[in-house]
Amino acid sequence: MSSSKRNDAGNPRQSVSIAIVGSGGTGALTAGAMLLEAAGRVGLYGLMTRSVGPQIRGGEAAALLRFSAQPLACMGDSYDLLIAIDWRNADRFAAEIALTKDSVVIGDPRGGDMPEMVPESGARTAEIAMKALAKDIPGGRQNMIALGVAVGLLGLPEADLFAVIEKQLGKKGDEAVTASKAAIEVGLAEAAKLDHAVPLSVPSANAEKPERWMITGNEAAGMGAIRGGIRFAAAYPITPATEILEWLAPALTKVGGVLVQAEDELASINMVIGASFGGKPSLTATSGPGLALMIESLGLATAAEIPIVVVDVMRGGPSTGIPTKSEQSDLNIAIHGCHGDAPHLVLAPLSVGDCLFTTQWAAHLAEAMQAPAVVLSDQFLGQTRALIERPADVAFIAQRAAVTEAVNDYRRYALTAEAVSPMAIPGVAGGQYTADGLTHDEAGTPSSAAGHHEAQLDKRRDKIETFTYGDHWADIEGEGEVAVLTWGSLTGPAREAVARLAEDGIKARLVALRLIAPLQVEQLATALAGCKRVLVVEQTHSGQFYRYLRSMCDLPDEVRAFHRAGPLQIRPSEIDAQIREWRS
Amino acid sequence: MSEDSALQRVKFYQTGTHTVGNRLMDEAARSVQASMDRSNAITSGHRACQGCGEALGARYALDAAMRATEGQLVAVNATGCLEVFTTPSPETSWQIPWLHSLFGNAPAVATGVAAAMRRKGRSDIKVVAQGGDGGTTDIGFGCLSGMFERNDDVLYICYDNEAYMNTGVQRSSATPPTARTATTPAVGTAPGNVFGTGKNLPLIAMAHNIPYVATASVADLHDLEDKVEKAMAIEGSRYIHIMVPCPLGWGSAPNATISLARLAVESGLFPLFEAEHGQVTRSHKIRRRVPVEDYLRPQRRFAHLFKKGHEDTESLAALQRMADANIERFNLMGERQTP
Repeated sequence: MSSSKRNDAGNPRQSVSIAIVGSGGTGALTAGAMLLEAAGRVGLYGLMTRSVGPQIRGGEAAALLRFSAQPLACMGDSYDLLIAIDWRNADRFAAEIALTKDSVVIGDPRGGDMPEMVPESGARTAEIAMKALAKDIPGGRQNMIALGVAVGLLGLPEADLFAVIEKQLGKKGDEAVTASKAAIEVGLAEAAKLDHAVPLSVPSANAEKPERWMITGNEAAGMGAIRGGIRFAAAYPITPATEILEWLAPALTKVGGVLVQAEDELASINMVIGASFGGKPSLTATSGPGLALMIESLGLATAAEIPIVVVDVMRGGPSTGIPTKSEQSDLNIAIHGCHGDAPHLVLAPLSVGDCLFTTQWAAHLAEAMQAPAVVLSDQFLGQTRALIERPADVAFIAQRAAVTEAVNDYRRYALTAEAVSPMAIPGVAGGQYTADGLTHDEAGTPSSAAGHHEAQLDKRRDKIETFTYGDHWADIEGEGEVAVLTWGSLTGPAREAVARLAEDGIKARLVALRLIAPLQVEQLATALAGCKRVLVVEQTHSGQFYRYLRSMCDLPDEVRAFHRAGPLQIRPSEIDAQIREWRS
Repeated sequence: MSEDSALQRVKFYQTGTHTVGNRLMDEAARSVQASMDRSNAITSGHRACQGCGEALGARYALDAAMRATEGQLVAVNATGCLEVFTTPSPETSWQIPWLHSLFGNAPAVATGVAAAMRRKGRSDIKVVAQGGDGGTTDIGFGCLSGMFERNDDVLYICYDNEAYMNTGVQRSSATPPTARTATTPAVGTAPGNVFGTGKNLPLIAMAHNIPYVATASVADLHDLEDKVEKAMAIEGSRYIHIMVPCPLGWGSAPNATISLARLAVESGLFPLFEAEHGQVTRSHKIRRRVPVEDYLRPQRRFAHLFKKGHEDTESLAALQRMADANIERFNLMGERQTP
């Protein structure tokens, strides 16, 4: 990107993007994580994604980072600094690490052949013999030298990095800490010899160091679940959603909840249905292949009106696809996967931190409407580690209309004005009923009568279509006759693109949907009122979101669909360019 | 165990076994891997971790199956480490037709392949399905039981490393009690995996009365090869359960893979046996019995059992009882069968 240029111009959004790469086992990811934490200590905002191949070990690994004194919506367009601990397998992620002539590339002269992308980009290069230097330090590792170089070139305070080292390596003993510090010192000294500085404006040392949270979307989703009142979770390991299960296991115990690792996805969702029937707000987390297996039960939860939350951390599909990389292509199955007419909720977090809010809101909505809610996170949101401001506390909590005292003539699926009927939890005298995926009457008794079928289909449709969702259905920013319409993790690049356009005096709106289904048709029309052009942006091969919108509502006259399959996330500059080109 | 034909008349020392090396064996009884003509069904250069038990076990099993079928083999592979580390672009380790099913359905896909071969009159082409312990004991269990019940002509091999290693070491139904995994952390009053009732897949397979069930270990690769060759000569559903240590998930040294596999066998925690039509026909006798502690202590996943001053003697005793029960049930300390 033009980020270095923007730095020079004193742009308020100034940021620095850094990639640390190496073959598996060289510690590139560890160095990246430490750099992120050190930046957090001085109050910077940051993002770190990992690019790893699917193999267990020995493949390529890249820590991709971006820092700024301002909140960051997404990764940058290109990298200001690339440090290669070695170049082995580096060609595999060449497409993910865009370089420009302003980039600085530092490699180890004995680290293998530099991939062609480096000379092709015209980037400035320098050599630091990280491996050889590390050998001279007892216990020294080349990734710590790389870390020292990065910190030196950025101008981050050494003390904050050392504090991170002491915290992370203290357990391993003084020797490990001393060795790492010595290696970092060497890296700092090497950086000082270079005249390729890529300094970052660090928030003033005088200012109070603002508190930063360092969190991934998967952790945030787990936290949102707990804040939303989820007390039972069942899940089955699947990349890239497993961290939700791992995070929730101890966290649920602390709040008196329970997590079960199930034997497969069918068991996961059906345990969750059972637990919710038993009265506890419940959740499962999975990825596309798991969601596909869960679909039949999603239909059961819809028909039997049992609230559940399913977090789908999307990855490249179809089938096993690209388990370690991001895509938004589960949209169709999340909305339309069920057989029959099965209205349910589909939501999508709009940033790493928003995984907390959206999951919490999903738990609230599912319980309020006694319907399943699917939360479409993705690998980018789920596994990106971000330095963010402490998210605001919100009051959404699971509250189910329930029958708590003895009743007579209980009708579980009674037709009410708001179409939600109080649910009896087992144990309430007179509250026994048959919960059923078969078409049923108001009492829950299976029926094949046309009248019962239509009445209950109407009920299940009406309860979610007439609900008042408030302002959270979308993030709407900016003004003008051009709008970028997007959803989920693509909100980040779209948000930055709109902000860049605004800086150049080009007015554009951002409309990013958090509530995907039911689509808020009227609110969307209002948000787009006065727009002449709409650019629909998404990370799918076939334009699933565009087709969904087209099937559901009228859009302004000129609509363009800008979509691409994963794993290369659409960059802000690409959205920016689309809008500029369209205007001319 | 070798055939009688492998015996030499004059016994200078212990010939007729692999103890003194292949060269003194009858050619047919020599290790498949010792042959220059071995198939290399899985070539080297794959991405398994150092000391991976599964890579070793799969190589021996597949090459033995190739020899037994004269190269007429199709492999179906469930999702898991083996599938992932043998196939990253632009390379593949597989030199045979190989189909990646999904996670839970390798037995059903293999059934389909076998049915096609039968329909085409190619009964010479044999089908092997394989998966890890997660794909076998958890998500693929239903399909596997269906395959057994129909007695479909497939050899199913489970490479058991006792957890979901590919996704970062989460527990499976095959994870032993007290073992620490990402989802059974070593905290609280009952650290590590719970003492459940267990899910013994070989016994479950036997309960289907299929023609052949065996357990094997990478500690005894000749035995593993023998069992695979034997299985390939049988028509119908066959099941081989191979214990394959995982240095990453177990927290063990890469060079301890074979010794740990051996200690698992010699402690009685992993009994080696064969069964035909639901009856145990042979069990591998323990040569030098060791306490379970010898097997558990070198693995970091059990480190919390051995904390200084806080040794979990209760759990250790319970694990020892499991080993003792195996020894009794499978008669592991009985007279060694002479070859």
